[in-house]
Amino acid sequence: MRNKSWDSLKAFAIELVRKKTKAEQKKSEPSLKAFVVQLAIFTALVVSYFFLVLSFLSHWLKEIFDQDKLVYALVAWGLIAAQGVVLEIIAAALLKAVESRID
Amino acid sequence: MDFPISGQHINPLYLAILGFVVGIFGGFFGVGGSFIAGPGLFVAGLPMNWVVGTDLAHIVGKSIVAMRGHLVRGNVDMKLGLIMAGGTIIGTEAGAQGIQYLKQLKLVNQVVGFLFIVVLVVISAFMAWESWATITGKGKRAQKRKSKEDESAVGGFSDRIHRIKLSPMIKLAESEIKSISLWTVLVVAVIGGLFAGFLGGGAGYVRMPLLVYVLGVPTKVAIGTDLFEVVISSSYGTLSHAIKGNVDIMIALVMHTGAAVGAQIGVVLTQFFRGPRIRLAFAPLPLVGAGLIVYGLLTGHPMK
Repeated sequence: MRNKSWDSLKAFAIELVRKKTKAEQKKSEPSLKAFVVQLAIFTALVVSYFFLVLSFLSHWLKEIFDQDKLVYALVAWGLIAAQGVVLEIIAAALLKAVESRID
Repeated sequence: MDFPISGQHINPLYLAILGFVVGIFGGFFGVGGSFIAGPGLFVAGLPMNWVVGTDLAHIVGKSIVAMRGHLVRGNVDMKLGLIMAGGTIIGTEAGAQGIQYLKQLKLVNQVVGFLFIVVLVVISAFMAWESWATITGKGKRAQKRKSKEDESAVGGFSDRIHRIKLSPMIKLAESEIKSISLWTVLVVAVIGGLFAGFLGGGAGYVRMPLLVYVLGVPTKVAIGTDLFEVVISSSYGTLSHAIKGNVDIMIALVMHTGAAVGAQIGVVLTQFFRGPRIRLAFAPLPLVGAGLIVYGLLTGHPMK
């Protein structure tokens, strides 16, 4: 069971970055309905993330900024890169989930 | 909402919408959107040194998102992107040092603002002329490439660049370039980096035209490769400016939430438009940014 989950995760990660042929691209292009549903859910998740997570980070980051600029630089880069990657993974996973339900 | 790192008070919804618009541009045009994001932050009251650094940070997250979409479509020339990254890092650091110097002279808003306006107007005018000439077939050296969607009114210029025999010469198969001097690629990279470090953002508004018109990279590959290269160069710019005290990462994170949503739309839209038409649609956008900076410089206070 655990191996199956791990294999699914691996396949999903490879699918995220693998170069696709034109035929595969055409096949993987989402339908308008799936894309709209995915976008709506994704937007709702992002808004929730803002209120539940981001709004509490200000003062912690200000402390680091005042204490050590190098650490702040690394934390800042790490946060924005992680947010970028995580949001992209969530968007891709959502689209896959929505497409499988619609189909 | 208060942003204590930069000491500013900005509406987070404004930042999210700004990020959303910029995200669509990033996914569709392959540029970071700093020609809108930078001016948008400036008129919200953020001083130019913070605008430059914060915009660079915001670009990191956004360009990763937009790049992945182009990566799976085969629009990224990794070899070209990695070669350019070295030159861009050099240029970015030089730009960042320039900002520090202007901070000391207390001239950063005026100098950066003025240069931004000049750059944006020139780019807008050139791209409008070139893409319109290509679409109407009136360019002197309109040239058909293998891919008909990538005609250009100035295609001959990149051919002359390819004929510069300054070794080492390299081949860029993904970009359909048989032979080009490595130094040409590095010069383009340094110029792009300089703009990124000095004016903020990924400098795609400079790099993408250079990729297409100087190096001769097909438009769709230029979009994806530019984004790939921006991920690397903006990361360095973020670290450099953060150490110098010019990055408010909270503002960048909030903007990026909007950009993540916008980028989903932008990437999908590229399926439906040809090279010259993409460039024509891009042409007026830098003027919007220039207008915002003029407003900010003339009024001297944030747009509310």
